[in-house]
Amino acid sequence: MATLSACAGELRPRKALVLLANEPRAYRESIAHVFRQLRPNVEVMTAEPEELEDCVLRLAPEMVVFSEATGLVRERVPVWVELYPEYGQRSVVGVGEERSTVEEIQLSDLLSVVDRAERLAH
Amino acid sequence: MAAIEDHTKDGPIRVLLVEDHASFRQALAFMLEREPGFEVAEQVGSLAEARELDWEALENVEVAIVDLALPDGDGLDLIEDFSSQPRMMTLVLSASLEPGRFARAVEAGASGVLHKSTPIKDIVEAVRKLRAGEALLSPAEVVEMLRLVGRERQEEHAVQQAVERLTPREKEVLQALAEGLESREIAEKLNVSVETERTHMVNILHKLGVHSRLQALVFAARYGVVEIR
Repeated sequence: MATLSACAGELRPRKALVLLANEPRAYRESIAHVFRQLRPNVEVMTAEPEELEDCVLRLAPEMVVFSEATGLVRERVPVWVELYPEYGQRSVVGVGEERSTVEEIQLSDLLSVVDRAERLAH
Repeated sequence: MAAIEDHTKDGPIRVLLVEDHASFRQALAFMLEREPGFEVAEQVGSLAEARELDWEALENVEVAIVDLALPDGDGLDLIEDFSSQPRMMTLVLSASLEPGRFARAVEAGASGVLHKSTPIKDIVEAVRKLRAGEALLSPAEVVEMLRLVGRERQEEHAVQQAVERLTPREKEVLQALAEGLESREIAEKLNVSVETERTHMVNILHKLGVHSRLQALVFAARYGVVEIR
């Protein structure tokens, strides 16, 4: 399993990279597991939220899932999901310049965002 | 009887998920369905959905994984309902950081409590342990949790008594204080002398068991005596 330890200094994977750095850990790990199982064409990594910026700078992921992000992350990552900020029901999806708010986001919605990130990467 | 129990333990662990964050609930269900020996019997996202479940169809559910913060109420309310199901054990999985919430879950009948920061493999393992009849909490932990619930109840009772001792006029003084008024302004607002306002305040401090206007304001705001606008 790719984890934060792989974030430091490894070569950039050839597949589109999806980085999950959202809280809490149970959400992050279970959603990462589903991505790995159902989207084997993308590389999936997890990181602690406090390591998010560092991983973005080192790995330039195509997509990031976070609970709270800095401007740097939003600017540098082409596709992102702000998942359940402050444990609410609302999530925000960013694809390029496009922003959309999603109430009660479903797993299928997240998989669709992964697909968009993968298409954009190629 | 023993044969029936053995048969049950040989079958898959049937799990019910009660979690309002759909993408997590669905991901957890996906994982559990692919774990050897697990079967997700049902998944719901609210108290109402949980209460609409067909309990006869769920009689073989052994472990309910329950979030406490549900959109239409408190998952604690479900734990007692689930405790009436003969085979069902409840594992609370919550993002709450309040020990008192977990303690109340245990008091209500939860067999285990985990924070959502727990690694997912440990959550799966906890379900296996429950099914195997292993305790997730030691007797000492349970006792400490029950003590905590008892202390919190005593505090709540003391607060309730203190609030009930306040007169309507004293509550008006507190509300004026919450509006940011000084002693003289409160007196003017209530058409009383400054001395009378001070007498009210002394009585308020005594009844609430605090030592300053600021502490009285914090107490009143925390326990809903005043409305902060």
